[in-house]
Order: sequence, then C-alpha cells, then structure tokens
Amino acid sequence: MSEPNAASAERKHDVFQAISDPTRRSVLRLLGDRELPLNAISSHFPMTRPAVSKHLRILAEAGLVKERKVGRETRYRLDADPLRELKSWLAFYERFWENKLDALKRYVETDD
Amino acid sequence: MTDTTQDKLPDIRQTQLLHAPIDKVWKAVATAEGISVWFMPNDFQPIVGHDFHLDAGPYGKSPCKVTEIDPPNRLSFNWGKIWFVTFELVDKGGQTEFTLIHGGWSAEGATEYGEPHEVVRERMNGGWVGIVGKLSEYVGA
Repeated sequence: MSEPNAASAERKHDVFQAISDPTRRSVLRLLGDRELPLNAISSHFPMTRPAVSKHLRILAEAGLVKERKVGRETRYRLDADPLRELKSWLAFYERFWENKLDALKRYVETDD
Repeated sequence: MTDTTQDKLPDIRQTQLLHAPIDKVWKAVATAEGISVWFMPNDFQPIVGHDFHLDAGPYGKSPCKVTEIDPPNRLSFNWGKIWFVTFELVDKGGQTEFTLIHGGWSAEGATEYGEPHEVVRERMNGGWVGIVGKLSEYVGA
C-alpha cells in the first residue's frame, strides 16, 4: 500500500497520477455506484483515516471525485468524466500501434 | 482497469499473425533498416545497452536504450525516460505471431514530452498520421 508523499500532494494531480495507485483505484470502484462519507470509505482499507483522506484529495484534484457537505458530514462520489479522457488517450496509442502493425504486416508479407 | 502490485497502469498489448517466416520478421523488427520502414527512422543496433534515437520528425528525437535481445523471439527497449516497448515473436510453422507491448504508463509517461496530454496527443497525432501515410506509400508501392 503506498501513501502519497508530501511532494506529490503539493503538485496538481492529473488522471494518470490519480489512478496509478492501487488504493485509489479501489476507492474509485467503491464509489462507482454510491456516495459515501470518509468513515465508510476508510473502513474498507487497512490504513488511517487521514491517509485515506489524502488519497481522496488526490482523486478530487484530478476531478475524479466530487464532494459535498451533508450536515456535518462530507460525502464523496465518483465523477467518471476524466476517465473518459484517459480512455481516449490510451485509445490514441492503441490506434497508433494498429497502424504500425499494419505497416509491419504489409512490409514482411511483401515478396522480396 | 485491473489491480497491479506495481504503481503502474496496464500495458498496451497487440498481437498480429504475420504470413512471413520468423527470420524475416525478426529482420524487420531488429534492424535499423527494418524499423525505419514500418516504425520510425532510427539508429538502432541489436546490442543490449545500445543507446539510440527514434526520430519522430518535427516532433523531435526520443532517446532509447536496448534492454533485451533474444533472437529471433524477443526484443525490448526503453522509449524515453518512462516507456518500454517489447516485440515478441513466436514461430507458427512458417508464419509468425507478433506481439507488441507498450508499457510504463504512469503520470510521467503521459507527459514524456513535457506537455499536457491533450497538447501532445494533438501534435503527435498530426505527426504520426504523416508517418503512417509515408509508410503506406513505401510498402504499398
């Protein structure tokens, strides 16, 4: 389990950074279909509440998690829009390699 | 998205059956001449530890380093600071199963060129479309 260090917490977090951590990916899955307060989220992880709170902050800075106050409680929910950006970024490279592999195929299947 | 023990995102992995013998495919993916035809101009040499560059034209040259050579089955190199690329070849009785693995996806990898994702994608998209077009011309002639 890795915890965000001070240096990374000071940076503005992008989506790649946010989901490169297994704990944060688990948090996103947990928030996939429901809104939860910190207590409920923390209970799923073998770490302190402040540690989970740091992960949530990184996710929020990347725009993946939205928070709102309900009474004294802050509740967190998933916002999947940035994941769609990420998907299109990876899809770009998928397409890039498809083109390259097609070029390789044409090249090696051409008679000398 | 799957959990991994490493602090990384999943690799891009693509497999293609090539109707060509493995030695011919190896020559296409493990020589500077071959790589320049279907991928990018380069000064690759099949020697572990060899430093070389992939030339993305107006988008600059990426420093690379050969990390693994196992003819005619496997070749790996580091692409820039973060990415790695592996070519895997399997003999299928006169044909060759070719697998491409592009890994090392992390925040740093996404900003390999020191710019936000969107900017890089837009710029490189234009560049690569051009490169692929040129390749098609060359091998399709």
